Amino acid sequence: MNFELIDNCFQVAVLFFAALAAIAAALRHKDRRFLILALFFACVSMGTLYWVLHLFIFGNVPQVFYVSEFSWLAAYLFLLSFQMVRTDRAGPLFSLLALFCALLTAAAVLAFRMFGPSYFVSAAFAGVMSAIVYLAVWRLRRRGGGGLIDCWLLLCVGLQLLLYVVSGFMQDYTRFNLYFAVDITLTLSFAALLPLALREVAGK
Amino acid sequence: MIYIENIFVCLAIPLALCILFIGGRTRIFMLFMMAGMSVCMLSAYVNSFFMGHYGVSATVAVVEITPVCEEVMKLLPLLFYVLIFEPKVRDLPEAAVALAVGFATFENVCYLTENGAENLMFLLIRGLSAGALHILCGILIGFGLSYVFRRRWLAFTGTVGLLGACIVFHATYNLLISGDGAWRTAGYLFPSVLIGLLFAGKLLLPRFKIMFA
Repeated sequence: MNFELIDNCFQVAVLFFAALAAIAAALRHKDRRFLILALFFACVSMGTLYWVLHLFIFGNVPQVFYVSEFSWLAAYLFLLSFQMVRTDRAGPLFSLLALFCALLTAAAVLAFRMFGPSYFVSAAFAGVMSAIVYLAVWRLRRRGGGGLIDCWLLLCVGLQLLLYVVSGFMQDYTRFNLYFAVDITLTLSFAALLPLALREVAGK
Repeated sequence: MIYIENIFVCLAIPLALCILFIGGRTRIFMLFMMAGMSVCMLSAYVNSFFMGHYGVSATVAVVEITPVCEEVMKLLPLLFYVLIFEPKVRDLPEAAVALAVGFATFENVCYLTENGAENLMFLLIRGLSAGALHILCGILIGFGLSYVFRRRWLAFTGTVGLLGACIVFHATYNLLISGDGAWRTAGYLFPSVLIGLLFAGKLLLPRFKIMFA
């Protein structure tokens, strides 16, 4: 069995259980942030599942509309929603450093045409990723604002960008290589958002 | 070839007539059922356009094009309702479910016209799974927009996110039922199982007084 399938099945399984755990946390804490996290986990998991099933059933990857990428984009929109729910506007929302980091992220996404080849999807991905980065940096800069979870979100965004950059240099996906190392780290980083969110809720 | 417009006229006229004599929330429900049927018909045109444009087979269209077109088309009447009429929180899920019911009904009628109605067992399974799939998508959009993503910017990111979630959910179902044997069985089963779990949740959550902040 080639390593791409093992990696994808690992991602589907880990994030499926993370989604179930997030639903349980939402019911326990009666907090919609966990529901949004559950949607995030479910969308990443479903996008990967669709990709794997397409490989299993048809023996190739989708050729016309990239349904998996719609799903992953939706997942990042849920992550942005999660950040928006956490952000209570106690002061002005402008920060020069946050804007710089957001623009840098958008430039990286557009430069490597991530989620391409469609310019529209790539631009949408750039917008979503840079908004997540903006809010995370803004919260970290604010006095008594951000915490470990904001740093972790920046790590997740960084790993996602790194994954696309690394994929540009990889040819062979049948054996373990740097691409899979980054992907597995990204999957585990996503899953770690749940305990961090639980910690944040418990701390309040 | 099936005459989809004729089927639509035949199904929509009784609904249109009953709308003249009913009011309130029942009228909204019927209107959205009709909207669901109209959207289903329009989706067939859009699907055919993309199928011809990309020159793909029916199977590829079902797995990759149809879920995207259908879910986007289903969202449009709801967006119109939300943006123009600003409905109450409790009205939106009902409208979304009614739209999904109308869509699933029209899709099933077209399927019956094309393939016949001899095999009751298969039709029962198909009716249950396709109906459950569309209703699940309706519930996800309706309840998501009403109860989870309410604020202005959150409503924007939430709506697009929920659309993406519905697309991949629908596409996974279509992908599974396009396969053989165990894949197809799994495809027919999973929307029904999920709707069963959701119904159990609907019964249990009020009992434990669970509301979301």
